Amino acid sequence: MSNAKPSLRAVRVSKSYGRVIALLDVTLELEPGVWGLLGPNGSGKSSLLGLASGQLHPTNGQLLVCGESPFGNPEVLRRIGICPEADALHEDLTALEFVSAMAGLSGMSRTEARERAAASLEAFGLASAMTRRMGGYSRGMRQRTKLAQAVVHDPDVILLDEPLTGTDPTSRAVILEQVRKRAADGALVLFSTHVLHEVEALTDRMLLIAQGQVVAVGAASEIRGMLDEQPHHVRVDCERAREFAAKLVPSREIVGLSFPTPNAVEFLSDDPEKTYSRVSQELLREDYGLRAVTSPDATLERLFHYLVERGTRRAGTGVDAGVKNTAAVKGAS
Amino acid sequence: MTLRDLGYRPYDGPRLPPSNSTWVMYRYGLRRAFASTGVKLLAGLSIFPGLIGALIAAIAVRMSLRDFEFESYLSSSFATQTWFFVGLAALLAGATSISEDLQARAFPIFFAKPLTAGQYLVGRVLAVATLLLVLSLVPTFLLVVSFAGTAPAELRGEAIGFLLPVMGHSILVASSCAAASVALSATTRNRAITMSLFMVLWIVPGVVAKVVHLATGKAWLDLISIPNLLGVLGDALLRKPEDGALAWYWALLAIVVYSAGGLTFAQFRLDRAEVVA
Repeated sequence: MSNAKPSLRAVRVSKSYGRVIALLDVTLELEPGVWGLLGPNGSGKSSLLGLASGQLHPTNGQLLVCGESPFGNPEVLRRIGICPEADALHEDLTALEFVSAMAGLSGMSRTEARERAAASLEAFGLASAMTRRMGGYSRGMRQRTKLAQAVVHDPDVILLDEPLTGTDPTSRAVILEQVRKRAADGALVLFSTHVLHEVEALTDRMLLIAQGQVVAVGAASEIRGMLDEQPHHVRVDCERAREFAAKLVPSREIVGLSFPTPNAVEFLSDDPEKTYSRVSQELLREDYGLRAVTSPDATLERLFHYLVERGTRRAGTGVDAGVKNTAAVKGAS
Repeated sequence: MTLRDLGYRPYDGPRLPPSNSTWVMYRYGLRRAFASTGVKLLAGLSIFPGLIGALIAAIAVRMSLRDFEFESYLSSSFATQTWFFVGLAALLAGATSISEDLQARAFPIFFAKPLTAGQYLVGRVLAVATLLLVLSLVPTFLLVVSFAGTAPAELRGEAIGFLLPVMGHSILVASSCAAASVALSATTRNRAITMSLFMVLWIVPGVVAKVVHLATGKAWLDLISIPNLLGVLGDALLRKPEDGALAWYWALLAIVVYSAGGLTFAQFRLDRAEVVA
């Protein structure tokens, strides 16, 4: 077996399904530790994980895990553990039977596989439930079972596709703790999610992917900064939306205005902090029949759109083509 | 539940070769097949016809009933056992095997391990074949042994002589039905469709072939029905075939073609199955 240290390297990797392009010209290099893979639904996260786990072959380019291509390569596949997003569990089997079989597929003997499966399930807090049929498991227990099978063979590269979906706080704590532990022991963990704060609890190293391209790489704080950097929308839902808008429009920081519904106004602001302050002052001064003050921007989706637009714009002008494509991600932390 | 640090224990023990994956899938498939309550029930119930059949055969021989031929009785009993119990087990365990994995989107887990589509398929087919072998061999074996134990001394040797053909035919029944049902389970991710498809293909061609046989005396339409083909082969092994029946070599050829074609189709489907949702 190759002794190369855990790593994931993609060189101009593209993947398409017929006419649909899932990944386009992705270049990156990841080293051991936890990496957050962030992107909206359909951005290409699962395709990247599929390529990294050797289940898909790149249409173009080269993807190496621990220095070798994982596609049809048993030696590399033994060093990879994957927790897919889909449920993937068989209702009639017990977790112990399932995880033992997965350990067996990684080359362990029957006795060793059973022992390791029990230890792995125990680590994920399923000691008392492991001999029960998985059909009766809660969503969190099922998720932890999938994670237990992903790490039962001590993989060097752990690929987690939305591992916290549908989990309760207790399951979350157990999962995050185990991920941290594996990473601390030298594994490379690629943690895919579309929720920024999920991955912030684990790592500072982020990889943002949108429309099949890596659009940003860096620390979580930088990404939060980007959220503030883009023009900000502030939405106020109230009964007298037009009157309220008339009061705020003279402000210099407000650069745009729209009425999504008759009872709502949306401001586009250059200085969100100032706008929030003025909105609250005006609301305190007079009763406009307020229902809600929200910001549609505080989501990663908006950030992705912003980054993609910015990348396209800059690539067009030749200012910063690097943002559109990818990234030197090595040691981004 | 509290968080416990159980300690990280890196695995540095021996690893079995990738070829071992076929046997892991086989054991996993067996567990899955026998985990179903329906299959367990079926396995239990399948023993009774053999025992009751043996009792009836023994009584018939003791009473010196005219026209009683054990080989004909054995062949019909085997055919019924195959049509009902083996068919039902193939439906429950075989016709759902791959479609269930497709429906649960379990391929990303399996194929991220050192497991090829061929190993996966062979493991799953062997597991279903083992289940079907148990369901076809055990009751018929019981029938032969019970009959041998209760029949008059002069018939015992003859009865015991049926054990080998019974075993051979059971293997043929189990392997062909397993290949056909697992291949059908690869057609789509909807297991209701794969089960319905199997039921239709198990029953309709056989009925049509029988009707045509009765109406015209021609048996060639048996070629489109797996249970009928297995019946022809069973007759060839266990008793003198009826006049006008399909020749055993055509039946064997058709069974081989169906099994090989089915497995090739399933392999093709597995190779093409995208693992990413």
